[in-house]
Amino acid sequence: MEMFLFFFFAFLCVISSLCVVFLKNPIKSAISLIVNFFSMGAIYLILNAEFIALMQVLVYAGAIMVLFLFIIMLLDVKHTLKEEIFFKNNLYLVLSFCIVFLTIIISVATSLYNSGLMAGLKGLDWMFIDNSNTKAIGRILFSKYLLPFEITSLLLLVAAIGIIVLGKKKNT
Amino acid sequence: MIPLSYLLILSGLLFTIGIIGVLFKRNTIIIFMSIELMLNSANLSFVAFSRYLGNLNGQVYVFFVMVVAAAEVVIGLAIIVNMYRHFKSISADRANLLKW
Repeated sequence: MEMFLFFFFAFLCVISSLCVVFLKNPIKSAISLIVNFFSMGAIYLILNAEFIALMQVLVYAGAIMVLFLFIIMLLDVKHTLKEEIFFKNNLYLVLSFCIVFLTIIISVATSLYNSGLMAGLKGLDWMFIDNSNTKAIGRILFSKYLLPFEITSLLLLVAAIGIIVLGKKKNT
Repeated sequence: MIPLSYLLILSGLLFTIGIIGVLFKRNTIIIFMSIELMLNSANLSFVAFSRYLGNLNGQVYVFFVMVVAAAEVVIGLAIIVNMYRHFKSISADRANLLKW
């Protein structure tokens, strides 16, 4: 059952990401990116990472995709469709690069399969405190990773100030 | 339990599709979506290793990657809007001057 669900959502992931890249209309590719994020969240759920799955759906499929769709609707889509050309000159170069890259990744992954790494070193119980993945993540986030967490808030502040500066009209 | 290599192969496939999107497409918004795909595939391999090593650090990293991705998307889309105001187009070919 787990295998079946994994293959279903992996298939959905790959198909929807291909749709993101190869569809002409930006709105359609944004919608298929939402499908991709949801199926990715499902894969996280299969991997017992409930908090990450929740964040995936809330942050990516909720906030980021709304922002994308808003920007697509704010800008003129028809204008861009005419200029949409493919990178035909370097097509074979790029494709061969991608094939080499994929080959390297797959060979590394299969060599990992042959080594004993996939057995699980510490076991699963460390990932859950009181049957809750979220509680365990909260505990580690506010103890071991407290300083990066605070620096993250600084990063968000910088992003907010940057968006105000960038979004301001130049006429003042 | 799903083998780790399946997850890594899925992550590599998604990353490669993201690279193809960045290299092929001229629409800046699609390029941004492909960057999101690549970030997601990296997140997937983080979570996969976190699951198989029984270690929570990978999931915390995924949390940070998500925060950075959100900030990056906001700034990048603001740059795209400014580019549209300047060039009246969002094609990446138009942004070929290094000075504004």
